[in-house]
Amino acid sequence: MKKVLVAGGAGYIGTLLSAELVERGYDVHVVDLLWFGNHFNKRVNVSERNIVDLRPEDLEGFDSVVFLGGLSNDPMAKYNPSMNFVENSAVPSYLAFAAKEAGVPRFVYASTCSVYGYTANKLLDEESDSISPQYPYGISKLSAERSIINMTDNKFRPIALRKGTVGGWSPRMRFDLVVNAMTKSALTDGVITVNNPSIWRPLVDVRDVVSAYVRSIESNIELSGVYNISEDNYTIGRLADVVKDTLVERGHEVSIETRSVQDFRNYKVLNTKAQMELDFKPRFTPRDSVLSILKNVKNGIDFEDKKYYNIKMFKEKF
Amino acid sequence: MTGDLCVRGFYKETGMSSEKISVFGGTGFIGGRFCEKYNNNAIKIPRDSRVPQSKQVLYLISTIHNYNVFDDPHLDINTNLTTLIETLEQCKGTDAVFNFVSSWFVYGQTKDLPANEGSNCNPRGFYSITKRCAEQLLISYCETFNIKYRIFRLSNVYGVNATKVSIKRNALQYLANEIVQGRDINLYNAGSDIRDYMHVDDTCRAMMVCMDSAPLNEIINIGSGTPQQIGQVMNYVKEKTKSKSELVPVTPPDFHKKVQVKDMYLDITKLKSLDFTPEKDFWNQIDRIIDISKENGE
Repeated sequence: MKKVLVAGGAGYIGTLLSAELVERGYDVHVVDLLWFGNHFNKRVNVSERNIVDLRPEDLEGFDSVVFLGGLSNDPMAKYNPSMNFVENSAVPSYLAFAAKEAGVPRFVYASTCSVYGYTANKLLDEESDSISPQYPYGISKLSAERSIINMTDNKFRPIALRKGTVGGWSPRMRFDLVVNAMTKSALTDGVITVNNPSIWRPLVDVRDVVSAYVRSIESNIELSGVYNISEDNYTIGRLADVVKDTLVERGHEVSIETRSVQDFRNYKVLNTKAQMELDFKPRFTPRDSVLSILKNVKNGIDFEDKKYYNIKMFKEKF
Repeated sequence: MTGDLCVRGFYKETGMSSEKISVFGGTGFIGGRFCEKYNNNAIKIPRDSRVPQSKQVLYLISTIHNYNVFDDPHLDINTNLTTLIETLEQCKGTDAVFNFVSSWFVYGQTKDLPANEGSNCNPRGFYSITKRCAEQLLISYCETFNIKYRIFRLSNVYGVNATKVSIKRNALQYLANEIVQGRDINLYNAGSDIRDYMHVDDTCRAMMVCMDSAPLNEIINIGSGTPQQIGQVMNYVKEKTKSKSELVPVTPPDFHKKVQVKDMYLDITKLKSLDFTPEKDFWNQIDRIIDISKENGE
């Protein structure tokens, strides 16, 4: 049975990924401080522990290590710059270093398309040299990504997945991601507020993200490098239309309110490399993400509960 | 805060300055020498304080090598990142100029030599990674909270520091001393590795010149800009002292290969543009290290 360690694996993506890996017969170990609780069944070994406390000997015998920890968005990075660089740059670099020392062949790092920053209307691939994140979150993620990829050798084969903005339902749910936030807003207020309809974002359903991690873990060990993971690129304006149309079909009354707020995060990416090399084939659109939320939200859900918003929980803890 | 009545470029013109400088990390090899050399300017900040006492801040607190990682990775993180942010917190809302001392290690392995301030950074080893993180943290923090800063990327700093020498710390002096004492030394890659050595006094003066007249919010390499082959330097020491020690070529251990950089020297065009020239002749200083090693014996 192949062993996988998922560091920071109790979050939005990790909860689904770990369950999927268990289903596929992996021996899954999660290391996480459990800020957002434990949503696993008993088949996942969960250890409430700081990632930096892991030593190489703790990682010996694992076939893959996946890093999903750290701060997850710009507001958290802005709120606590120190933790941002510690948790998003230093800690994943350390874990990769320790994994390499322990002889773990595959390391998968949760990167982000936020590393692209503002790129006007250029379509970017992984080899684009014009990457210039302007915000601490993107800077810290790119810093770790480069450190980790820089450790590549014949025996240590890291993969960094630059994910678009993720959406859809997870047992450890978030309503601070654009598709999910629009859906929540439409369901609670009947209105989707669009701050800037012209900016671009690559989007991806969380189930496809899970597939991307599985593909990375199971890929030929010779593969290594950086991969964009997205279903497609959407303007925020078109996304609002998709969310609205999906909900209207299901009998909800929804309108769109458009504002004109400047946003310096504007990027669209190509996912061809992941398709060609990892055989990553996205199956879900933002419409599917909305439907997955509709299917899973329970009557009486408190959408404003702080547990659904990383920055609220984070501010309470720090 | 005190000592703000300083005219830019005054030190460069006259070699004198009345400006006060809060020195964090003033007990280490470089910080200690800086405080000694500029004792009228330097305010040595106590180890447990994060509060600057002047507009100019010289921040040298840091681990110094790549070998802490498996004993205690928290050490590199806490020293190089957490303490830095605690100090930056105290600079918020002030007119502080935060001069951060970084290292050539942030460049990592590169064929783009001499490394200039715009060269890509590919740090190897956890110390090097945290130093690069610290630079990025500093820049984004200072931009967010409108704090002025400079980053000094120092080359290998050498000098005579009798008490704290080892293969990991002041290695040049350590190896030279071993040869003077007639002991064999191991040379990785047959001594072909290249380094950029700058005397600690020149390093301190360069930092002073930069604090006096370098543009704000920039990175500045501080080094000699001269590549020196380690084997050549050690052969010089051996010949000069007629030592019987052997310079033994050895293959670097795996960990060393992972974290170390074979060749490095710095492009110091920016530093030179401030009319800075090193005063200490490298080979004369090696002679001095030899003399002191002879005097000190074991």
